[in-house]
Amino acid sequence: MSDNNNIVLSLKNVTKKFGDLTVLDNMSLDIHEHEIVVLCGPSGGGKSTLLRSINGLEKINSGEIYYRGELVTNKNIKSVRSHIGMVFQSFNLFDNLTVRDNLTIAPIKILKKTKAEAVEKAQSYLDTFGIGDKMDHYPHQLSGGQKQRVAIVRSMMMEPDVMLFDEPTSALDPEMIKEVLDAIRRLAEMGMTMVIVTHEIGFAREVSSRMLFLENAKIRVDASTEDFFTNTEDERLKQFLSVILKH
Amino acid sequence: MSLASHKMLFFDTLIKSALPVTLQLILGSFVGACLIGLIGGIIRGMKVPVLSQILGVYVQLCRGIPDMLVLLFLYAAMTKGSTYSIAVLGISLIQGAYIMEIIKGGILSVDKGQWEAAKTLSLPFLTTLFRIVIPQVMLVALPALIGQLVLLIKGTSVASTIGCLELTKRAVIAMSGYSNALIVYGYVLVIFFIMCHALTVVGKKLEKYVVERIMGDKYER
Amino acid sequence: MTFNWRVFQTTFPDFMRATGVTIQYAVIAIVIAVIWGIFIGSINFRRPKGIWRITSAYVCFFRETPLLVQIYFLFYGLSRLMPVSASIIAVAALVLNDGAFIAENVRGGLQSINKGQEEAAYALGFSKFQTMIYFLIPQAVTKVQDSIMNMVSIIIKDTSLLMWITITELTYMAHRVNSKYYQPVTAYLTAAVIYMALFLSVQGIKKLMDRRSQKKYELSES
Repeated sequence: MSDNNNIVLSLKNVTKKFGDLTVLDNMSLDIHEHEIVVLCGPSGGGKSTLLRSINGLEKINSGEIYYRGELVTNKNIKSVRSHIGMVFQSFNLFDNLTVRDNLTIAPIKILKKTKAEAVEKAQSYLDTFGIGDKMDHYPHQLSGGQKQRVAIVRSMMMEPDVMLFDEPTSALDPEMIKEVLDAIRRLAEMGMTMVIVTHEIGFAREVSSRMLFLENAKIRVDASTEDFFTNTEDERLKQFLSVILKH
Repeated sequence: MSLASHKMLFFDTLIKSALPVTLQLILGSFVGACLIGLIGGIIRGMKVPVLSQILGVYVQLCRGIPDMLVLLFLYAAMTKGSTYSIAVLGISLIQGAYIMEIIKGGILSVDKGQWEAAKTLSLPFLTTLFRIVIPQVMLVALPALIGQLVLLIKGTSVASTIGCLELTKRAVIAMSGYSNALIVYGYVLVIFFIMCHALTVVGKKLEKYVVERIMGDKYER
Repeated sequence: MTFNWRVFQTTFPDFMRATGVTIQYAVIAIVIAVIWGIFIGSINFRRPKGIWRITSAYVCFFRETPLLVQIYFLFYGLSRLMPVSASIIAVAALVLNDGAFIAENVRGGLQSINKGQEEAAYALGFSKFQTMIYFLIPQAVTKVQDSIMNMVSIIIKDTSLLMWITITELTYMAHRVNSKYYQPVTAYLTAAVIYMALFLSVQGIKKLMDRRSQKKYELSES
């Protein structure tokens, strides 16, 4: 783990403010290849902002973010983004495009794939996630769980190096949560590096290799999943877990 | 009035000589207004600093000042150009402001998440704009655009007052020959009504068709 | 092609008088048009047999034909049949045209009111007419308050077409000053500034009304 060569993402002293409110306070963090890191903590703790800062959806006020050792700047953000997949809480599928076009537009435009290649790949991913028959549907014709799986496939189509999940199940009805979590499990089996913000703490425990507890704009606890749940001495985390595990 | 003179007034004067000019006025101004509206609307929708404020003032001016005044001013101030081109310029400038607001509203109505998703896929700005945002804008803007086009069609009648030989002006001239205003202007009203009403009716069908093309069938907003 | 202050000074009183004419026609027309619009809009909402076909055809026709041609039609057409003054024709044209738009708004407003209220009113013993007057129309008017204020701005602009039937309003004055002095910038800019002042005043009133109705809403919510 200490090998620097396999660090995918690295944050150094990152600070982000919204007006007077500090959301990320001098935060540093390394994410290694094949790690599955889950961010948890009370809302407003900066979890989503952290993810959104990594691929430049939020501009940070100070600090540095490195991707594979390379400083992320305004100039290279576009090429960095093409290696980082992001899945949103509200899916953000392109409403006016079919599933086919949602999945193939970026590979064709950015990765310069042929249409046939892209469609073939899309089909195989859709099959993997159990929605192989949805190729010609429009987003509004899909259920929430199906939409989120399409969104996951859309990111996977870019052959990302790392995937970011911003509360991927929060907007879903309970019966659809499992299908999305199963899809993420499949990515875990493939060895995908992932950073996940989620409130599904049982799922987090099962799938993650490392857990972070964020509170008040700081990383309060950073531990292996096992230590996080069994050996923690942090009072605030204990409190948080006891509340969340009761549900 | 004899049947022959009715025929001459309606077909020869209004339909054959005047209607083509009105149609050209409509087409020319609509193209001009759409150009102004599309470019300005994108600038306003993307909140480009300074430019969007300037365009905001422009829109307020067009909403506050009568078309009539603008046309008379252009007619008095411009030493070159036919009455047709002055009318097209004036109507384009004013209607362009309204179309600008429609496009701006449409862009602002597109969910921020669509832009963000495009960014995370590193789609180029223009691809995002033309493949994803503008089709969704059309969905919201199309009914308003059709309504605006009806206003534009009616607005072309004002061009008659600076001497543009469209329907209304032909009627004014014909009045010296056939003094029955109820018939002469009645015909003009009917022709305008048919154009506008047909557009409204076709527009409703078009909206349905476009929604289906953009969002797939059975889409409900 | 510059602004001529001397011409501005000599013609300013004329412009003020013309502004008065513009405001006068706009105010008279909007007041009557609102009443007319509510009346016609209510008929088109209720759809009493026979009449509503005529009233809805009227609304449709006047919304989809140019005001200028309507003005010519009424002015040159009616004056053949009976002796009427230009000012009456002017008001009539504005009311018929803009009233048709208001009628359509009011009808939409009425249609958007929850049907349950109407039934509750009948259950309490109110007649159809009373229900309209006491409950439905006031709500519809509140709903279309914004679009009626926009209509005021539009009517002010519409009065400019009255110059072609001898009404000496603001655009007519600009036109006349320009023909007399050949100073298009001075003549039309002066008029444009006055129109903008009128427009911005109407916008200001609209904002005040919005704030007031918002306050009312907040009060009734708490």
